[in-house]
Amino acid sequence: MSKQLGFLHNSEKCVGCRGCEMACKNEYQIDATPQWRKVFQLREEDFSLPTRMFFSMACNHCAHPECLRVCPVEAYTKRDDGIVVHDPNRCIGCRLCTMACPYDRPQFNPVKKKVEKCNLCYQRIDKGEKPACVAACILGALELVEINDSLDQKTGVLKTLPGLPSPKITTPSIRFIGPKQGKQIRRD
Amino acid sequence: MISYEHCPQQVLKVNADLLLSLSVLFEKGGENLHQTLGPFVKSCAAFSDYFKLEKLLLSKETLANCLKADRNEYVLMTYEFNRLFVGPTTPEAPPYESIYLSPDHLMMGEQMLAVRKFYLQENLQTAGKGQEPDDFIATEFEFAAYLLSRIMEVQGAKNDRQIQLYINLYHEFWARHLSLWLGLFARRVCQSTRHPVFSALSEVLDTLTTLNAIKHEGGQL
Amino acid sequence: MKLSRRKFLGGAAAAVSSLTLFNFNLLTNSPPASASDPTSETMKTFRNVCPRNCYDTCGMITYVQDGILKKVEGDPKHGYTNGKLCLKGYAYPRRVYSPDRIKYPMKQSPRGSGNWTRISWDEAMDTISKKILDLKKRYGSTLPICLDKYSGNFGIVHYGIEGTMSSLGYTTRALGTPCWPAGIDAQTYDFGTLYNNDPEDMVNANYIILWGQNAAWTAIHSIPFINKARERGAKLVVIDPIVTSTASKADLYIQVNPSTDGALALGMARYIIDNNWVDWEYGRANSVGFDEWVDYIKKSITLDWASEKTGVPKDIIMEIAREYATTKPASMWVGYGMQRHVNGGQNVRIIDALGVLTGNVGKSGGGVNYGHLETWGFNYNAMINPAPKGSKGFIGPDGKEGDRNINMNNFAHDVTAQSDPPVKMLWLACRNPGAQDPDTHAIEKMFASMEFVVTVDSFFNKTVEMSDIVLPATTHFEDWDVMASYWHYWVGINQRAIEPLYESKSDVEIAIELSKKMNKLEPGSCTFPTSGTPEEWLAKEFNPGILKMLGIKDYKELIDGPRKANMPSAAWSDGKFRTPSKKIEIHCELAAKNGLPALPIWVEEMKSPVKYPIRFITPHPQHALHSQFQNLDWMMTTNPEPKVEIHPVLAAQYGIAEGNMVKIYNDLGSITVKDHLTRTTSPNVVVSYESWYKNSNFNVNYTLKATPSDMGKQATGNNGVAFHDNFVMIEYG
Repeated sequence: MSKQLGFLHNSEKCVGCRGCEMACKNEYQIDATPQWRKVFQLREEDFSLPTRMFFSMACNHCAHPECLRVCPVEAYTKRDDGIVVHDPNRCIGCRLCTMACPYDRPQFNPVKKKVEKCNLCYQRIDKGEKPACVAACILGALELVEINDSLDQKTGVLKTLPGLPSPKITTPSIRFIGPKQGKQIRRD
Repeated sequence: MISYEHCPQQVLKVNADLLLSLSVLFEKGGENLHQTLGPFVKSCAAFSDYFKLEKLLLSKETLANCLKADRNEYVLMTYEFNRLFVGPTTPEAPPYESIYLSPDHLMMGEQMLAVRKFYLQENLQTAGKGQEPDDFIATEFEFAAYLLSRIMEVQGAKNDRQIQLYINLYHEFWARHLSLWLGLFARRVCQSTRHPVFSALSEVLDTLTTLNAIKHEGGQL
Repeated sequence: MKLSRRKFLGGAAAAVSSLTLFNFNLLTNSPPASASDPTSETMKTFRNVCPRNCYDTCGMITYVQDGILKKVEGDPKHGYTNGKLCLKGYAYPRRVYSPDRIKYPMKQSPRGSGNWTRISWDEAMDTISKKILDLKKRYGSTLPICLDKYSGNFGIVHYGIEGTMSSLGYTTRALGTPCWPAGIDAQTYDFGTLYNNDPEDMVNANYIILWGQNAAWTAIHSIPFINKARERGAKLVVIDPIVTSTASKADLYIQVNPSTDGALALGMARYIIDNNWVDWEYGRANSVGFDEWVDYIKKSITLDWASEKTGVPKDIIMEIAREYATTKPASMWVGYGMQRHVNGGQNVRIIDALGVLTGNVGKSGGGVNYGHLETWGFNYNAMINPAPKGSKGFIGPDGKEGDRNINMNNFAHDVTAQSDPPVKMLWLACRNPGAQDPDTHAIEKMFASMEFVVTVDSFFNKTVEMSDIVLPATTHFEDWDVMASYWHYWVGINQRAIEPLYESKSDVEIAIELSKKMNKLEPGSCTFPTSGTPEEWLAKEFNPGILKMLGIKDYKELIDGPRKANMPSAAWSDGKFRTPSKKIEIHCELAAKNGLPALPIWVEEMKSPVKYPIRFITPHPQHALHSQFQNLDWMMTTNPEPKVEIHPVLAAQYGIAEGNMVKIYNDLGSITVKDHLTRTTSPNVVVSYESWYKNSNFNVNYTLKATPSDMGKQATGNNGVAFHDNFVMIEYG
């Protein structure tokens, strides 16, 4: 593998607008229920002040993808740039991957009876374009990055957020910049 | 399964009549059931009798009784037709192929484009401004009936190559389109309706679908 | 035997009564050329603009192939929305092809029964025309017909709906605007009209206060400009009773007591005056009543009082006062939520005056920014139609004959109250009072009392449910139109990207059909022109003024890209205020004439009644724009159900836990909704976002009285609604 592409999500910038969720759905005209990218709200109890904080997650294109490991029909492949691609033509809808993924990112489509997930817009990337979610983010909270030491050494770059499974399981190719909280003058 | 090879004209005609009467029924809408129900019931009876379909005996009877409905009954049928197929609330059973075969039951999906392509093979397209989707049930039925009429024509002309061509086209249209969704549509109608005429209609549709379903040998059409 | 087609047709016809089925009823011969693969057609792109009631009014690029809308994207040539939409914009394809979409004109018999018949456009127009003519005959005028139209589609050509009414005669009109009139009046009294700095100009601010404004949900494209300012060190202060997503990003968030924002501004003013951070030069040169107001503050306002009133500690009031006054330039964005109170207009006046006090008005990076209508100077050709000869109207207080105006913000009551003549027929377009108006029970009752109701809409909502006839509306992708924004300075063209689906029509097309039928039944009864393609109607909206403002010679140039109006980036930088005195009227005689305080003095907020101690705030949702979008399938997936946000302390008092169903009620009505316990609200405020969920009767307005806000009449005809002065009780269940 020559590099590992992934996402950097910045909760400091993110307002949870869900533009990334919908831009992904719009790009692929995804069916109603699967959400390849999902915006999650961080629990206010996990932080000192109650604010609305979010992170956005699609597929983490893990360095050690469980989905790929458990798939009985080799429907998953990992590209040279680290993108984990799911091939719906090979998929038999056994759902083993949905159970194996610690992040619940592969989604079973009950009508198509196959799994589907974010493929990091590899078709767009191969054309030199940004992934649809990254291109749609108005606040620049979502970036396509190369996961490497130089990124990890930058200040503020976290490998996980409170409430997420340990990154040690699959080594996800996602990095976070945690939320920042300003000063609050409250009446309670 | 109905085989159309070396098929007597009568078989083709009975089929075509039923398809056409269904097409007209859906196209003219609930407001014209007093005109369109009669021909449908008649062609359905002829179809049922010819193929000796016990399955349809009850429906045949129900339909015949419904024909005797008075003006008020017809009005109720109109409301039910609209509730099932038209709107303005979300129709219980929208009569468009895309709804059943596109995963999220949206209108104007890929299936509609495929049907459009099919029509174009025969140099046909939807009339009018074309804003009624190509995969509207009435249009698909009309096309199927047209294909049967072509078979009849070329049988008359004893053009073997053409006979085979049209038979194949007819089978293909059922296999790739009508068969795939009519059963689902019929089931939806059956589950949603509160009126015997539409339950009977769903039975007829279901039977028609079953009879025209093709069994593929070795995956080849 | 050769069976010719003709013979076959004969056979078929005989078998199926006398219907000639096989004349290809639904199919027809296609031109030989199109026998080629239709899906090899290349992808076409069109320019569209989201026509919703939204600050951002985004430029869109629509992708169409084989006449089908494939996907949407933001328009990269739009300098404010910069190629990006929002979650609602991206969900548009689901709207166009939704199986829920109303396809044909339909009639309900009787109204409310759920018994619907499909009718042709001809029959629909015939029925409607006959009703109009019947009412005209019985009452001697078309005044018994009432139009309620607002912001479902803010496209300029959609003012053809008002035009439809005008072309029939004089009618009853729901006048006013529910959302923002108090603030409009405030800025009208103070400056002559509402006028904000170019939001892109916020990059130049060194201090930004967002006052009751939730840009993260309602104007997200403004945030990058705010962020640019913050990168340069600008501080962001957000004042809001709720910790919104926007407030979550603030350097300083102030949870002000609802409806007391004016007191906070007055407290700040007092401190600014005490420390002489006043821009006397600007204030005295540009306003009347400046010193009078300063004296009022010195006499009547103390920091202690302000702190007590607002719940904000004194030292914080002092801090933001100092920062706002001494950091130049400083920008304030006053949100519409902030003025949805009985003293909302007055609070905006106070904040305006604060801006003047510190010399921040008329400056780049500054301003007291609320909204503007500077780029809306179109012809309104579709709207302007003379009444037919001999039309009888309502004699207004000025003695002129014209339409009879009733209060859009007290709609149920006002419609019922009309007697001379009574209102007998309603026409609803771009409006959904069944979901959006206060006092839903009253609305339901009023609708039931009507003789005839016509609604133009795309989805079967409450209003359609209560109608006699529904007419299927096109989406903006199926229309030609032009869109301006009330916030940014861009104007964009909206092309017809796809043909109208099913039998839907745009509002102008409906007007044309109505006019044809009316004139057939009674020549001269309708003056609406009966010709013109949708694009021609669009073209007629442009005038030299707008063309000049946009720097174009022809409207078609907008097809290449939206244009930014040629305006200075700072409102009022030319000092040419549009008040009677031509100065900022801190002392405003016009306000006094209208029974309001002449000065921006403190006016008490509404107190909660003893019986209903909890304030119920119902702001705008994230996933919807009023009753649009939430019903779409993608939206139902990401936001499946409504919630009410309750503070844990309040919840504990009523024995309510997380995820419980909670009944929210008062004298007017009730709703039951699932709760979420959060400290982003305060212990005496519960929050639920107004919206229309598919297959749900959830509607916050069941509990909402049509309480007027203090202002709005001057500029918009009627006072607004104090939406956030709604008091309730809660209980588990």
